[in-house]
Amino acid sequence: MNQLMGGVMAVLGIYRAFPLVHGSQGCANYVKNTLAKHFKEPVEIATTGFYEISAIYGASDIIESSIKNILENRDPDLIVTMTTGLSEIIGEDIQRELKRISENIHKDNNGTYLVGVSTLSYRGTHIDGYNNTLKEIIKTITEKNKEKNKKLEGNSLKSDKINIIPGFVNPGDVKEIKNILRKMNIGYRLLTDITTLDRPLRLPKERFPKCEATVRDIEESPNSKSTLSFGMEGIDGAKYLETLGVPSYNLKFPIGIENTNNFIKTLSNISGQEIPESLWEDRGYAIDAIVDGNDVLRNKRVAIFGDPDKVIGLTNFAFEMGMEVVAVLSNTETPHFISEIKKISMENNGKITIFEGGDLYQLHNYIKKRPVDIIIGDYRGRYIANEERIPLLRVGFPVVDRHGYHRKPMLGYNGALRIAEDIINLLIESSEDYEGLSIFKNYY
Amino acid sequence: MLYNTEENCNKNILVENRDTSKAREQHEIDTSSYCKYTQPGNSTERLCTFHGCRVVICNQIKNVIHLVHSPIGCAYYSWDYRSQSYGYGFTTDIQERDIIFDSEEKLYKAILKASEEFNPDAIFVYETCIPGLIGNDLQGITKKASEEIGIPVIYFDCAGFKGATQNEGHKIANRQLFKIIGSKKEEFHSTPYDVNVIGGFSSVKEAKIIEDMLSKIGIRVLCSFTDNATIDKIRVMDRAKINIVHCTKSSMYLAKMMYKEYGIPYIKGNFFGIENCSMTLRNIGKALNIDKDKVENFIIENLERIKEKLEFYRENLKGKRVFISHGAQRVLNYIDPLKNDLNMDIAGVATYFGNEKNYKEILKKIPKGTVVLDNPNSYELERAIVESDADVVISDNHIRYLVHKLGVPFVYGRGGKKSYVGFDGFINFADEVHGAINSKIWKLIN
Repeated sequence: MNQLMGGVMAVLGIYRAFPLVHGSQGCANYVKNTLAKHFKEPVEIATTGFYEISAIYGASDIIESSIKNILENRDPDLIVTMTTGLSEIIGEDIQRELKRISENIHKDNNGTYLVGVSTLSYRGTHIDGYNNTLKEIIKTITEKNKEKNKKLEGNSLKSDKINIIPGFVNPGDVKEIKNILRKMNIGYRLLTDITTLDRPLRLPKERFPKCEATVRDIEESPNSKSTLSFGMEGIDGAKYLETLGVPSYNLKFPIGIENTNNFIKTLSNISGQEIPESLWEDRGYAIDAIVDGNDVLRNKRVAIFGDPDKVIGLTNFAFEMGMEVVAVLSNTETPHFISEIKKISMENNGKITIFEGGDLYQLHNYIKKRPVDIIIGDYRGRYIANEERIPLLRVGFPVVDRHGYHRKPMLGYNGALRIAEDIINLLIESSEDYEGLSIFKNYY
Repeated sequence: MLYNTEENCNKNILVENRDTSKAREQHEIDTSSYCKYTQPGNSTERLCTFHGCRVVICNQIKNVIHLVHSPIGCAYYSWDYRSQSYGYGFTTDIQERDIIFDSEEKLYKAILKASEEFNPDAIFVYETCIPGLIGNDLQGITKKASEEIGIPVIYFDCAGFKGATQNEGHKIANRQLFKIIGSKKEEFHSTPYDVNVIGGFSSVKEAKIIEDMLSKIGIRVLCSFTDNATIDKIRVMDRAKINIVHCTKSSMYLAKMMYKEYGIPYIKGNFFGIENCSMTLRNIGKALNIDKDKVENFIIENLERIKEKLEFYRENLKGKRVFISHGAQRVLNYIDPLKNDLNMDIAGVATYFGNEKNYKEILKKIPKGTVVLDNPNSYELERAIVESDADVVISDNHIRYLVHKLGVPFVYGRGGKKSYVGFDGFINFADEVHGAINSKIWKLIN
């Protein structure tokens, strides 16, 4: 997916924030459509309505009228303008435009932050988009609040809270992270919280869906004790906060037992809180499920594809469960993907074929030659799964052809429990022989 | 922005969403005030020209490689936008270095590689915003590639920023596909009862139902353009006696071009709804000089079969208020069947792109005081649905979850798993509407 998708996910994860896509109507609507299908929730993404005339004469006027329109009709706390390939290629400087616009509409603007991000479509993927957008949001907001924050620093009013950047994940994952933090009794500031796209149906409809990440949280994020981020997703934001004096910890995604142990230990070290009994229980449940399914899981060949950092986590977890990972595919090129996978492979005496920045056609061709028992990835694996009659475990984003997958966690011990159970059941289903079960078999 | 308020409850108000105060004051309905361009900053349901060309028209053509000359996004989202896509999506994946150095060479290589690996009937190349802006010579490349690989390579100059809506893409697709019509030189056995059905873009299933229905009265469909089309079928479209235009908005151009070039007359046809369907069959019969009794018998036979069910739905749906949000043509097709065949009331209408003529026709069909929204943003749509007190909303999947969040039943207007065309199809549709309204869950929301 393109950078825009990641950018929009970052913006939608903040309460009362509004994404504005500076490009053709299709750019905004395609992203909106995919998000709506995955989350089964209404999504609003504004477009600047870029037509031929803007391509010729420049598009600064349509950004201005878009922002005015949004301020008038929606009155959000934050408007994030994201560019596309179309607006980038005509050479527009979004930061300069926004500076000019914010001076122009100074009077009408009731304290709404205007952020501009370059999310060009011809470089990077949704992971980079999330990373860049979140960094720009943090940078713009904290810069405006520099004075205020300095005063706080002077009064040594630094709070004990921890900034958490959950990454490009599902609402189920964010809930699981919150769950762990609450159980450990740690104060936190979520910098994005995509539970906005998993809301209960209660009338009347909310104007802005609720979540725990607010613009205020981002304003105050430099006062936190430290920042936690996972993999490449949001690392730039965490590094930026480091320049403001907030130490950052970059962990692997807490997928599987070991990685979650690590996450919880780090939390415990930073906050000085003990690991509570209830988390040990959760861990026990997950391990119990994996052990009980050991005869189904062991020696099964698995292919994994998706976002690089989640693939790293899932690969590690698959080995933990006794499975044999034979092929991994990352949709994004990152500096550490290949080395991390090789490291995991060495530790587990595995032999993994690695496709970096590749497509599913490569993976399909690989699977045709060397069959696997199960595929783990998003719903687009269904084309391979159907053709080769291999079960597919749907994880991550997007899963548009099933319901409720955005609520299923991948992170934490509960995520490990869910993934283990789902894999076990899929493997059992795929090996079941219903003909053999028929009691009438002999009579017909 | 409003409508349906007390002071103007006896007239239709066309809401033009860019100037909302005006609509309120208008004493006469101004159908020319439809909004051509989307107001900047709106969350619109409109899509781009590329979508109109690639997804709406071309995607259904089988055994063809749909190669999108774009950065990854355009290809990724459009590939299975509609669920009937099959196989792989193809893109040239334009990167920054390609823009600076050479994206034409990359496209050329991609065409050759795709043709070598998949052996398709033809390759369609779609231009998107970026090649459109940097000025790639698609015509030259496709011509060169076509000579090299010996199959048609057709380009569509459908950069997303061209035109105000996806409608522009329909025109481009029609224009380019028209070029391969009539290119079959071999002997072809044609009959006096050959027709084309133009402008069905929903699903193969729907096309097959229409083809089947027509074959019962002795008509052969050469090509259902494009829901059941292949390159071979499109090539022989010029041998038809008449064209039946299903969706006039998106394929009138093709029908007109074919009339001009090959002298094939066209009639408008609409297979949705009992009355519409009977009327269309009669018109086709007349145009092809088919025995009148044969057509009438077929219609009566079908009406007899569904009579009982239809009566049940007519009784149960009487007076229920329905809100329709679709493209202008589909709205027009749906108003009469809902009103006349199912006895329902129209609570409101919203379209993403209509022109003056469409709105005039719509206003004629709906009762006074009904709201008509032109290219609404999601907030306006939300208010319109709530304030029109609709019992059910019929629309595209775009707004399904918005409608659900308002606690209003929703029916997907294109059918999806079930098809809605033909006599039995309409019963499917009535069943869906009835089922949606009567699900108990809506009562439990509050």
